[in-house]
Amino acid sequence: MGKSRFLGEFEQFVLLAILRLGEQAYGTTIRQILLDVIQRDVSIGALYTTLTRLEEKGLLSSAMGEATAERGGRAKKYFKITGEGKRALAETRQSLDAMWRDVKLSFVGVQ
Amino acid sequence: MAGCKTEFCWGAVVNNNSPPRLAEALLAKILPAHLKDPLLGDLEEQFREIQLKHNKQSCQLWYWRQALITSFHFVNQTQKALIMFAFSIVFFAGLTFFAMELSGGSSMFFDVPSFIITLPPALVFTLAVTSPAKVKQAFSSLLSGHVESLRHVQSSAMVFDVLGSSCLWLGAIMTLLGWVAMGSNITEVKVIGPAFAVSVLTLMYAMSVKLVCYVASQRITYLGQGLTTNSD
Repeated sequence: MGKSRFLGEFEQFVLLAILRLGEQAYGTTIRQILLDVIQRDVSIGALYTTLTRLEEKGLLSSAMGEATAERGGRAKKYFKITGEGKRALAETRQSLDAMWRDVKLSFVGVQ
Repeated sequence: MAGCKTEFCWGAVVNNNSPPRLAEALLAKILPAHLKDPLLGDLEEQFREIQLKHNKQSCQLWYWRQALITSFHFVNQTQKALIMFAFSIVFFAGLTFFAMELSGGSSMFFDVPSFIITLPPALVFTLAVTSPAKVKQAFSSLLSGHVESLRHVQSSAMVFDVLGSSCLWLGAIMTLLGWVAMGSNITEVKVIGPAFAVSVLTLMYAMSVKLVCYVASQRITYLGQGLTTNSD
């Protein structure tokens, strides 16, 4: 596996949020799930920077959706994880699991 | 609550205001074209949600916070040309000021009438030769770093050429005018020095404007490299 396939912590959170949301993954819902599940209040700018980067890497695809009145008549951008994205996520998890194997919590200061 | 940090959220008066227009305009200017609709839409959607639980001030603060952080994330991507141009102007101004201070103090280099008789008339000449729309378009291209066609490049470069050259000629003429006035009214040799300095200041301002206009014109020409006549 190439070095570039490893995902950063926030990238993993974003990809997992999109997987959990399924068809309803767009900026607002992704931010909401990150706040609800991991209590991380990310700015919309930071989120879109990451989404754009993941899309450029081919790990995400996007499609414009409907415009609604509560959005000031502006369209949503729905995100979907690609096969490549799922593979990268799985490989990152396997790598982390491999590193954690046989590590006792006392080694990292947890009793 | 969605996307609203607790330190910004107090009160619970339901309100129905629009997001701050200035913050929206800032984002619309800075965001890449493909993210304007989804990102501004997401922010407005969350803004409306927050309004159900929080007062106007905290909602406005929340929106401004999001707008400023988001602008910070994207400004380097979309406004690189503006940042570099502003940096070069500030650098030039800084060096000039430093040189003035080394020459014995900057105050002797400032003379408002000398400035008024060069730049405003040059701007009027430019408006007369081109048009207000072309002048606006030229400054807009310079600041955004975006040119649409070869014709656009030529007209914008022409605006800066006319502005710079008019300013330089006006500065030269006004300096000569000052010398004629000095020569006609010499009564004491000791008054020549200050009068000569003020007259030369006009030329210095004119040359500074010409330099900035030259850089702006070259920048526009550079942005147009690669455009063909077909793009018109």
